[in-house]
Amino acid sequence: MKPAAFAYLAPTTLAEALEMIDRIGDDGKILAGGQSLVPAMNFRLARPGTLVDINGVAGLSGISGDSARGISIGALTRHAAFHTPPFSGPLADLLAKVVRNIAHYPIRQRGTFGGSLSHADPASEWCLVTATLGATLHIASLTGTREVAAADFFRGTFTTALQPSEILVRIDLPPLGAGWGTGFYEFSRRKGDFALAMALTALRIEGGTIREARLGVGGVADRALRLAKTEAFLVGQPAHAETFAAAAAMAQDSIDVSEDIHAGADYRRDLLGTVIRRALAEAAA
Amino acid sequence: MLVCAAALRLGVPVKWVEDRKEHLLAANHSRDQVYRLRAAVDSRGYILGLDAEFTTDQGAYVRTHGGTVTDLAAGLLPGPYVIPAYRVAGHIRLTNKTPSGTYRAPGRYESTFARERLVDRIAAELGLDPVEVRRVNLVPAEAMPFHRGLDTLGTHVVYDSGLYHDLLDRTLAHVGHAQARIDVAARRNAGEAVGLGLAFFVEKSGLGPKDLARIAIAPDGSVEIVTGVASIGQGVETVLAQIASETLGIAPERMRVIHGQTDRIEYGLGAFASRVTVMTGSAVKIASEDVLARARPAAAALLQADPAGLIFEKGSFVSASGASASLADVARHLGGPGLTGEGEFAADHMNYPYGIHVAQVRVDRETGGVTVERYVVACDVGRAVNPMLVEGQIVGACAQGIGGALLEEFVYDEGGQPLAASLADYLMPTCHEMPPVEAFVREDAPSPQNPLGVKGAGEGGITAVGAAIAAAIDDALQSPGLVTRLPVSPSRLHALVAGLR
Repeated sequence: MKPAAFAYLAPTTLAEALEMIDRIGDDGKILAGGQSLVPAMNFRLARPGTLVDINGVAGLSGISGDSARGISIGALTRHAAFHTPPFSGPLADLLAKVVRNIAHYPIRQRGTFGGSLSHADPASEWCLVTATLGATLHIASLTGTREVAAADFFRGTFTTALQPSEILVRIDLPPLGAGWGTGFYEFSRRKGDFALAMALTALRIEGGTIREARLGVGGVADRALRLAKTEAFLVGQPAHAETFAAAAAMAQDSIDVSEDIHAGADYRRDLLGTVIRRALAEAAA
Repeated sequence: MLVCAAALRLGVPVKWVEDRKEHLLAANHSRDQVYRLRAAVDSRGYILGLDAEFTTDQGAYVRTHGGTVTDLAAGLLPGPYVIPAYRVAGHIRLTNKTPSGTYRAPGRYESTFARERLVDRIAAELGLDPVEVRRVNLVPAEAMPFHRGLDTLGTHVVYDSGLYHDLLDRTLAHVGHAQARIDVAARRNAGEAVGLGLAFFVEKSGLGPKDLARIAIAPDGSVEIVTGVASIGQGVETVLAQIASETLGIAPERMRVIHGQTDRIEYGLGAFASRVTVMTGSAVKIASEDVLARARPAAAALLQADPAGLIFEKGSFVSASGASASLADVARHLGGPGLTGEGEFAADHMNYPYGIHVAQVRVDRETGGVTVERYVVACDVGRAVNPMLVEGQIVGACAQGIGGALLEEFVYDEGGQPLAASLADYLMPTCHEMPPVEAFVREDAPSPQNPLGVKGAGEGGITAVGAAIAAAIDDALQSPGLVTRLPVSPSRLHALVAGLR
């Protein structure tokens, strides 16, 4: 169907955008790529009185930095920018792997990195990336800019630390330099569908032993989860199948998985183990 | 109907607006049947008797399709096999779900799944090759026309023509079935779960009772074909123009096909039940012949020749002296309404296209995911007026069938609340889920029941998909009889695999 009537504002500067959302308050919604918001409006699941379209705001998109130093991502950067990242190394490889699992090609041309995080779908790939790698989110308002760790940003399904008067403007991902191997595995009903379960990992392996580990899962709970306990377990272990199976079992025990019509709890819990084992094996390969 | 009635009553244009959610909740559902089949077989797997009982979940009430799905399922459950003794009881149950109706290959997609699963089971229990068990049971060519001894949709089920054994041999050769079996077995030995499945189907098409067509040739040689059919994008215009063109010798480009206009023609039933090419196509063929019959005396007068001595070729009548008059010449000569013809085609019996589906799938034992690697649909349509359109029908129907086999399901909760009310939850296959589908179209058994020899091609591409994919999954997991329910969703298959351990 068509959305309910709404007012449309198109600021050209961040200051202007912040002033507008501050004035409008709860009744407003920021329009970035619109790939989740607009369908929700068409279904009348969302009925914002005013849309503040930030696509015309300069300086909100682009990727800088590299794998060794970490990168900064403008919130308005389109998913498709990661098809061929403008830098190389393990972090670039991981993001290029992940992006191909986000919806479909046309959606990736329009949808934005910051929009995905602000929307906070439990099965969002970028939410998983930021939660697992420990991103820092830069959030602007009329009173200034604050930094929030990804761990504190996601509060639950479609719920974040963002206030109605705030805009997510930049995301910093920490370095993932030489020596790191990465893995990502997602299972969905069809290509581009929301993940029934997915796992993302980065391992630094020396002489067959895991020295550092990042591991997170998505699509299985109300938000992307970084598995700190399992990461700690992995460190010092040999990088082989038995370790990965033990890590998967540990994660399965620690998560109360969600259910929907495509995956009941038993199936999803088992799938969770599978995606973790496969992601870890890929990172170690 | 309501929109038209409202427009007449109010005297203003009325538009029906329905969103996807409303449609998924309220429009007809289908496919919700449960079968229990018992067969008596001999040592070759020949089915001596089939005792079938099934239930159709009709939803909350009976709609315009009535008991059609149950009727068709009962009538066509025996499919291509002789089965000398057959007893069937189809129960229609009313529940608190959305009412159900017909959906491409109604009653056949379901009954083909049940029957072909049974044949695979018979083969497994007897330790026989499932292909050979099918061969033993197929209705032989010399038994055609084959009287099933029952009726469906108010007509006797009489298979009009068919070379079932011949098609089986051709399909196995086309697929390279023997080698494909060796290849998947080798991959299984290397640890993959890949398998091949084969299923036979008999479709029905050309539902009567009758269709009408009128053809008018204008003085400029252009042709108008007025029909009572409806185009749903399947190429009606092209096929009907081709049929008229073949008889009239006028290029299809010069023809205009009128459809869906009830003020232009008194009757016509529309596009469903794989009937358009058979029924409307035959009416157009007859109307084209009628045009020629009416044109001949006029052409003779024009050419001052004996009507019987005229030869009609390439759109013109030619006299013994070599003088010729085109149909446009005749139309100009006649004046008034010009040169016209009318054709009605009536059919008491449907005809029966048939075919074989072969699927190759790969199963992910851990996720329960199924990838269709290869799909072949062999189908004898009697005569293919337009092979490209036939192939399009088959490939499209196959996609729909893969949806039904692996993805599409109207899920309800225990209280009868529908849970798949958007296309994010009711999952149709996309290009990513589709293998390349190979259509192996044959014209070996034309229908003797219409002047074109055609059988409908609208449904054969879907009928046996559920059956073939189920068989392929069984083969991939080396577990005969494993799949007994569609769709084979990852969570269901995962549970089945877990049960094997």
